[in-house]
Amino acid sequence: MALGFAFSCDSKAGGGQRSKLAPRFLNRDIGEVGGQCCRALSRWYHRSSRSRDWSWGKQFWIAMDREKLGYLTTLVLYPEETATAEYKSGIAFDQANDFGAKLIKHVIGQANAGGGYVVIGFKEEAAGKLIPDPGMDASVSRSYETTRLSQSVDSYLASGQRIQLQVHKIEANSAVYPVISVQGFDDSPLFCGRDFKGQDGKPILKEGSIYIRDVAAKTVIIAGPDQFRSLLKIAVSRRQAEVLDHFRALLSEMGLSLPSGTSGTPALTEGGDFQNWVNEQRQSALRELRKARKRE
Amino acid sequence: MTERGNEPAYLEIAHYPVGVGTSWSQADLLAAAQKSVGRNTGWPIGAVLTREEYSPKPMRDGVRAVIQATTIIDRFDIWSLNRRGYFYFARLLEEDSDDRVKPNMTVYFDTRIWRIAEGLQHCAALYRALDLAPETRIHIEVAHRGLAGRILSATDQLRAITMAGRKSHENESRWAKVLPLGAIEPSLDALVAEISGELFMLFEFWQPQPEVWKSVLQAFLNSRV
Repeated sequence: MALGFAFSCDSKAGGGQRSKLAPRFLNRDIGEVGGQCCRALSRWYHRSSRSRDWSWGKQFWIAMDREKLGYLTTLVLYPEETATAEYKSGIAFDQANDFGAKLIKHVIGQANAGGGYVVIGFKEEAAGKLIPDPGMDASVSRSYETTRLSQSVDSYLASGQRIQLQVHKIEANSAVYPVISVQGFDDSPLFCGRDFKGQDGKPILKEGSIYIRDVAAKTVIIAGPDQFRSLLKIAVSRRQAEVLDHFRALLSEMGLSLPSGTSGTPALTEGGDFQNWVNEQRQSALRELRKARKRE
Repeated sequence: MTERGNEPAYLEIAHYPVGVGTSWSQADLLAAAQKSVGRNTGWPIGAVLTREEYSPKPMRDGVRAVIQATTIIDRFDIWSLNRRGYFYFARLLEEDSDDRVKPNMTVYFDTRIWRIAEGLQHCAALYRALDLAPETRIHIEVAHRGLAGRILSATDQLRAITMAGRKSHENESRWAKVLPLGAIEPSLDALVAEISGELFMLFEFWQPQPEVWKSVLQAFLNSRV
């Protein structure tokens, strides 16, 4: 398929001061993707340069942003619902309508599931396959913007809670697809702070509810032990490191220390099994690499 | 591709939970692999992609993914996770797909710090996702191979100018340790310093100032995709 790519990102979550793609990257990669995306990237590059911090490590961010672009592009080029990736139709964002409220619910659910991505502009065929939504156009794409979306989601969260998200724009097949990158909650799950009733009178958002994206890739209110267990696990893992840090500092003040690692050798047989397995994997990796070289 | 002569240069990360008798199903392993993918970089270690040829495949003894991406960036990743929780990851050095420098000649110290930190975080996340207790001992190995003749540099070319072209005469840096699962992330800075320190030492005794590597590590920790 003929493809063009553009990439931009604005951030509410602290990454917005980083440098973005720089001319060298543009010059190198544009040739692969055509003049249209060259113009789009160029426009974006110059637009974003106003907020760029060039003081340190700009080249490093170029490399990292190129990676980011590659990863997000795969979400658009190879759409498939997973535990962390969700796809929605090409409808403009408006928090006052049913679609907007549902999107807010999904974003909260993703954050409570530890974070993920919501890609706008795809619809499901009868067979369940995701295909680009022909309704996707520039005005739809423009309606997704980090600050606006963050504020809309925040307005439906319990008092004092805030979402962390970024809206990236990925261009493919002459359309620009917003990809919402949702970060997991920090210390406590996100609660819905107010109701929203759909046009049919049924509630879409319910005050006091905790939404979570479950194993069946649906956003649901926490209602059963399985969902509660998932949420608890995420919360515990997020606090675990923090608690350990406090504990370590406390022990340090007392002149003690946590075991920060030993050079001890694991049980001989198990260690030997592992080393044999690693050797097999390494040989397999090198074979795959040779095959890849031949294909090139 | 990232090769020096016939010898590929690559990062290798392998780990396993010591003394754990659990045998996980392929479905459990896939779910854990999905949950443990980090969000700090755009091309994460242990990436779980959906494109059919790159997606993880169920194997007799676990799951395995081979990713040779050429969209926007060149990457060659391979990872395996077996039913006993053994994890193996190899990636050709990203430095060699950077067209600003001659291929197969450099190692970027800042990229290495990011990858080491990411590998450790991924390790902790993976075993948490497999429901292992924080006190479970984890054997971790981090290796860089194919180093001989390479020059230590930096992704940031301004910084690279100041690095005086230190060359490695050794081909491999390998670090291994056993530590409790719950201690990996709280000890991240110390572990990164240790692993990267052993690697950088091979480049004519180079030791970055603490504020330098700490600022690189902090940039990684602050990064979100």
